[in-house]
Amino acid sequence: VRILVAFAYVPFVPSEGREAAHKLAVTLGDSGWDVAFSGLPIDPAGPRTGQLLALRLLAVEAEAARLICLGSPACMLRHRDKRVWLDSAFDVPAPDASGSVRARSHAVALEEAQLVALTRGDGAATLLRALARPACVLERPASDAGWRQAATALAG
Amino acid sequence: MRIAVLMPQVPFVRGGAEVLCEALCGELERRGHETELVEIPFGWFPADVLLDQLLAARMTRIANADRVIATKFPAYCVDHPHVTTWLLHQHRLLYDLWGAPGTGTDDSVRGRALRDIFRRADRERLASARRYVISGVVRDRLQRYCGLDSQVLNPPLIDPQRFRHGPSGDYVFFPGRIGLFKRQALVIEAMARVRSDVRLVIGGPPAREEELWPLRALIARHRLGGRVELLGEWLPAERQAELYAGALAVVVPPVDEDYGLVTLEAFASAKPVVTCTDSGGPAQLVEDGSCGFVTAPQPAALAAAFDRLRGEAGLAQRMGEAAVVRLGGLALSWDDVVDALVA
Repeated sequence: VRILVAFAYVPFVPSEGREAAHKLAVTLGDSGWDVAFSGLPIDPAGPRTGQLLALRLLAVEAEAARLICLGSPACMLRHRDKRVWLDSAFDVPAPDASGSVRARSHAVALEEAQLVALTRGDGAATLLRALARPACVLERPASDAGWRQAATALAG
Repeated sequence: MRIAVLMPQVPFVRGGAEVLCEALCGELERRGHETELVEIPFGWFPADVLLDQLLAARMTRIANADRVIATKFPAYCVDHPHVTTWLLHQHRLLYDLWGAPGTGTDDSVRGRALRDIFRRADRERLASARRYVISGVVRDRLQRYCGLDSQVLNPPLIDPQRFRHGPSGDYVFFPGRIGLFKRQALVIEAMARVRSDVRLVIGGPPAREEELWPLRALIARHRLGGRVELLGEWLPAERQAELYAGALAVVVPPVDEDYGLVTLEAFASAKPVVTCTDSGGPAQLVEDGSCGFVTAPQPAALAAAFDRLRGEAGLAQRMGEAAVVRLGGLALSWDDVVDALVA
């Protein structure tokens, strides 16, 4: 099974999310999965709606049987078998009365995911209430054994 | 200078473009530039998704970079004020491969309208960028289809120290990615016609495992199992260098290849190259009868070249020596490439 691990990043800026995505991809590869790793460049100073739409338009479905997205806005990618691993519930904007494009698009992106996991439990209930979307807690591992467990939970 | 090198990346596919972009980043860094290889996921199948890819590229912003070096469609469409193209190729299915057998060209009114949208978008975006291309083949296509001039910057051989010379073996080596336009099937057909005991080793991975099936079937149909080895996987650099060094010759018969890094690798390994008259870059690099053969794209013609190299004492070695001289004469330099791209 081909698995694509995707994350968003700002070029020339190191980030924990990037390292985590790399670690997850390596762990999956070591566990026998056929893995590719895809970084999605974003500009935090640029217009958000256009960048969210750009991610939504990228075609990755034909190449990978499964997609694991780390964080937002990587979760905007479309895939029939998408698993999302968010840093926290506050990674995504909660639906608001004004119904912002950003909030609504995140709601759709998470609704279509097969699995939503959060690295911290404190926001799971919030997300569950706000989006009516079940989410489990999968902490960012501190050991290789932990990474293997996380990889199994996300890919299995 | 902070430079982002942009490369559309079909997940799970690795070929010469990926190797070249990584090499460019390394050369830029060696010259003091802070560099980031930005691989934008790219899907081209089914054809309808291409329009999405174009729109996505236009809305993609590259932060923190003083300059963007874009290498392929649709990377040169990103939103950045300083885009330099070093064009490996355009999306060939919309240009020279439009209507080619096996490409699934949608030649309906809608299909042609879509094609023209892409061509217009290419022309518009490329017209406003600094334009370099990797070969005369790519330059000519850009001129023919988009009416745009460009300057050729030939990529040098990558990691040249890994290639070594070795005695001529009994096999022809066919490195590189497996695909319809690389024409592995043509060379297997040639092997069904050789008269000598020459063998064939096909290296390189397919984009999809299924692409190996018809090649395996062809090998079986011609009962070539003992003389044709289909490795079907990405070869580590050391293994690849070993296969070059031990080969009788290298065969590179693609359809109108953009450039020909494999040809340079064969030359660096002192091996003659057999290519075809319609192979584009390799056919421009190989001097027929001197450092290899440029044959008709026919199995019988390739078979005759293989037999001659195998049967004529010392020919492969003499041509290999000429190949080394030819490579030196090309005087390819990363300094020239980097100086132009960052000027």
